[in-house]
Amino acid sequence: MTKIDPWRFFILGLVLFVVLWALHALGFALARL
Amino acid sequence: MVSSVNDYDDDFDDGTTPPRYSRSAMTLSINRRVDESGKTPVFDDPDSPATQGQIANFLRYVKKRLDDSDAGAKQQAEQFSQIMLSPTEIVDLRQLSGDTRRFKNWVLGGLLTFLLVVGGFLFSRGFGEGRDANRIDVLERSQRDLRDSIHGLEQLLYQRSEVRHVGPDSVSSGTPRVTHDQN
Repeated sequence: MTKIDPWRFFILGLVLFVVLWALHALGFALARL
Repeated sequence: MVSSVNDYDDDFDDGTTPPRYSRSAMTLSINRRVDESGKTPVFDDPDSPATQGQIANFLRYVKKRLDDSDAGAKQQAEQFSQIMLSPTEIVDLRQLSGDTRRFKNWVLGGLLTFLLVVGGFLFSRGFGEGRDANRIDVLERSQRDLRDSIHGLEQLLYQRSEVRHVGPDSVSSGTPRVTHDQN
């Protein structure tokens, strides 16, 4: 039914990476306050 | 008694109104159909009265046409919805089977759990790194202060120092050279 698109996984990974990196940076910035 | 095709009322017997329908097109197709069959040519003449059988035939015909048009409308609506859904691949959850829906729920739940666990881990890592950076800053500042104070002490020592010694090169030159040992 729904076609499995490799690009979708790539974009999902990209989004995950950005979100996790942002969390890491948020922790760093909070500790530096 | 209905005298011609064009005199038919739009409403059905049960009071419902048929959907928009071109009366002239209906009449033409009825006339053609009747002409081809050769059984009821009365509809060609609008002035001659129609029999009960002809009226019943006509009503059956109209009903069939309406059913057909309903089916066509359904098919068109289905095609339209498919066309509208396919480009963006919007999936209505109500249309999915139970298995697919459950699978999607598991995938979503797994993704959220992964985000929570790994995100929390990375967040705490970032927090720790930030704290370490704070400590390094403090250490660097105290190191700089220490170096400054050592430098000040050295200057003080240099100014007040009575310690003098003859350097090794003073032997060759013959003249004693006064140096201050800064160490």
